Amino acid sequence: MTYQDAQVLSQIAAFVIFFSLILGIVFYTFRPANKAKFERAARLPLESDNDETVK
Amino acid sequence: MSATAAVKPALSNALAMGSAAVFAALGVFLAINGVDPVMNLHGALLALASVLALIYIFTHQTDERSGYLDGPIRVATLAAVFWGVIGFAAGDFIAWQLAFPALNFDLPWTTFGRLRPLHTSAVIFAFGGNVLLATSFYVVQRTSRARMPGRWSPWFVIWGYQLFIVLAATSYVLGATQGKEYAEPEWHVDLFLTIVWVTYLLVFLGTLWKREEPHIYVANWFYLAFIVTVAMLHLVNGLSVPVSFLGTQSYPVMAGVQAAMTQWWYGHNAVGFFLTAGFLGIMYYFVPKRVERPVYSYRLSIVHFWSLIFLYIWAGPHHLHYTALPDWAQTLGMTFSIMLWMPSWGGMINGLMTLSGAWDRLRTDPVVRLLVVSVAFYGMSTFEGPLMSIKAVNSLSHYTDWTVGHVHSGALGWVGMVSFGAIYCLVPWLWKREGLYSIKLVEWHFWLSTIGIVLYITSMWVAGITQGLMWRAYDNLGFLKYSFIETVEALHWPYIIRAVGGLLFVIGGFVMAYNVWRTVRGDQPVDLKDQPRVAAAPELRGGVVAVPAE
Amino acid sequence: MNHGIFEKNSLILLIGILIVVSIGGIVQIAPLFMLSSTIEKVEGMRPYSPLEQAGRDIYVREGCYNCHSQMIRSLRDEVERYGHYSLAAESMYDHPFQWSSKRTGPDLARIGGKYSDAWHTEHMRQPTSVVSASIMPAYPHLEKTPLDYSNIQDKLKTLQFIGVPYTDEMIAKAAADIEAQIAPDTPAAKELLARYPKAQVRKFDGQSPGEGVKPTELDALIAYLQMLGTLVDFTKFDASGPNLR
Repeated sequence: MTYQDAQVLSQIAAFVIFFSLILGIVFYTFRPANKAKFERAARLPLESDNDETVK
Repeated sequence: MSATAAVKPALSNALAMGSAAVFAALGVFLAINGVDPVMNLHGALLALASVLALIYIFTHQTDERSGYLDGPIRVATLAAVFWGVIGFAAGDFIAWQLAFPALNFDLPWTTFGRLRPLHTSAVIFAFGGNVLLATSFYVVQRTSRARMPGRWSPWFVIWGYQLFIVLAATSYVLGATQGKEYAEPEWHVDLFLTIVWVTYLLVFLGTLWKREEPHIYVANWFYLAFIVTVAMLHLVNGLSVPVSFLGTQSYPVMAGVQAAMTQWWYGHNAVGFFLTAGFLGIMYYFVPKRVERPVYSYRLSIVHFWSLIFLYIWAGPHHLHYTALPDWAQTLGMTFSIMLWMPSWGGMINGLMTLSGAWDRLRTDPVVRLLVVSVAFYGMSTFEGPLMSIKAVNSLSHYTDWTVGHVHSGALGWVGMVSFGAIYCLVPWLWKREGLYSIKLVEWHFWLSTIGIVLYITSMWVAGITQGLMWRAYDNLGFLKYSFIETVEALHWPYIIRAVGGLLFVIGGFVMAYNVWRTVRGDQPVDLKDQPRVAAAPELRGGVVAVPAE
Repeated sequence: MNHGIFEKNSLILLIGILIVVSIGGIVQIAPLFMLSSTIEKVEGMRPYSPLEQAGRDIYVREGCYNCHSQMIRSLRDEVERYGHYSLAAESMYDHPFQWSSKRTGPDLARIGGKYSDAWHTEHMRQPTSVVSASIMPAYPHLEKTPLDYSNIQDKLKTLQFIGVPYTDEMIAKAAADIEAQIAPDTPAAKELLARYPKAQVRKFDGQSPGEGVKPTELDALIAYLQMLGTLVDFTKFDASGPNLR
């Protein structure tokens, strides 16, 4: 494999990996089904947390 | 099932005492058979700590389990304050050494070369590490609504970590070091830290497994990434072979260019995961908690998380521009460093905008101000970082004090202030107080730190850019204009100003230590009326549950 | 409720994190061990002589890297100030590497031969005696401390184990070679030079050499400093050579 071949191959591979990774993140983040869950999770720190709340 | 249940976990006690006995035996063996004084000393320290642990466990076999396990968190919080003051003072002392070299005292143990690792380890690993241990144990229990698992494991994590700090610090002063920045501890200290760290990971994961909440709050994602990635970095970069299994000295397995790449992969991600991801976990819990409203955008926090941990790990080579590292690696490092600007500022915006609708808190509550200004410093240093990773800029800034100033705008401004904010939150909550002893003293701490940081970073900009430009200045005959020593002389006043700024920061640390001490002692707060309700422990907030405006 | 996999299972979150943070390290570090172009092929590099290695250990012990780099960048002013830019090959036997990241003092990659032994001795005793504005700490104890080389064989053996090309003969003669390097014009010194070409043989710390004279820590440190950057023959180095980049 020449240097140029390695370069082209690694650039294509990197593009595919990075692009699918960012698509995955965006899909997971903005999926409507996840909306309610995230809103619930965002309130976790605000709930009362004295020793009575430990399960 | 929060009822008090006094039980005697026989198996836990036996295991803990057995482990302590094994450590004690190992310590005695090394104290006697070690081939150098540092190993003898470390053996003795290990034996002493293990025997104390053994006695404590033997006399405390009954477990009064109730509510959250906060004892280890209290110890880590106090340890953070203690090591913080020591680490800041050590840093300021070596800053004065650079202005007045007589302060090296011509003794081997007090030279800049041995004390600087003591300073960096004390502030990063001792102060920062204890803040992370304390807050991560606090946050993961609260957001999981679960008590940490294990009777003794969490205690081992905390006290084992303190022993690691003592072992590392004594090594440096006595001249036992691996000679790699931020990874100076010798092989045996590295191994001991590995045992502590794996236990930490298991306790953290164990709490998540016990959780009663379906979700894992995003702060815990950051903490988990911090714990796991630091373990990976520590293990790979720490690979070394001891000259003797009874001595401290070892040689790292990697050499030259591969060692350099691995070291800065480690070093930059010590910043990225220890000093950033972990402390972002603090931001994502303590800012919403203190201002009593949910994080600005939970979705943004998820994008922030994945993009930050993915991009950060590539940024290491920007420490090696124009060196013997191959160009392709330098280019990769620079590219990812510039991209890193985006998730960093995404996170900063998310932290700052959490205050929307509650900006008045910035004026009325100095703890909020510490937290928010820390996020602003985070934004500033994560803008400066990508800028300095550009090869053309780096050719000027590298090897100069600009780098030192940059790292301190992140370390004092971001890590320091967000830690102070978290400590001021935690102390009344953990010791069940109505509030801090004095919120006025927090105000003082805020201003001492802020002015100290400004003096520090501006003087280091001046020093770094001056020296960088002098190194590359030519006279009109085409010769280098300045000898090296002339560029050192030019830095005398910037070094003094820096040391004065550092001194203000140290004084601020002492103010915090005093305030924390009075609060822990249970002294009546002097200005309770000026403190927000959220400053009090959850049990003492008058039964009103925080209902955030939406 | 449909919980996302990352919330539901902390182990999946853990594995996801591990995968994401592994990619960068693998791509940046692994090729450095596999690409032959990473380290140039040059003439003259050899492992450190036992005395030089002992000096290097003192350099590491005292934390010199906190203020001195050993990496000349390929920039005009640096090449003019310090000499030829540093090659990867020049640090290939450095365990640990000491490129450093800060120049509170000057770069030391090619300090060898720039100053006399007497200058170094004075400088270590009291830096301001030779550079009046110096802010370096003094190391007066080095010349008073005898070098402990009782474990020098174990040190070389360890370095051999992790890839430094020490021969078994070099290891067997390690202690003798330390004594030989401060005893000029002796048969032992001649043997040392055969094993370590270009090694400099003399009593470095200013004391007079002789039968039974033992090396000090300062001997070792100066022996190391005086050989830094002197091994590669740059008249035979072709920067555009076929194995580069």
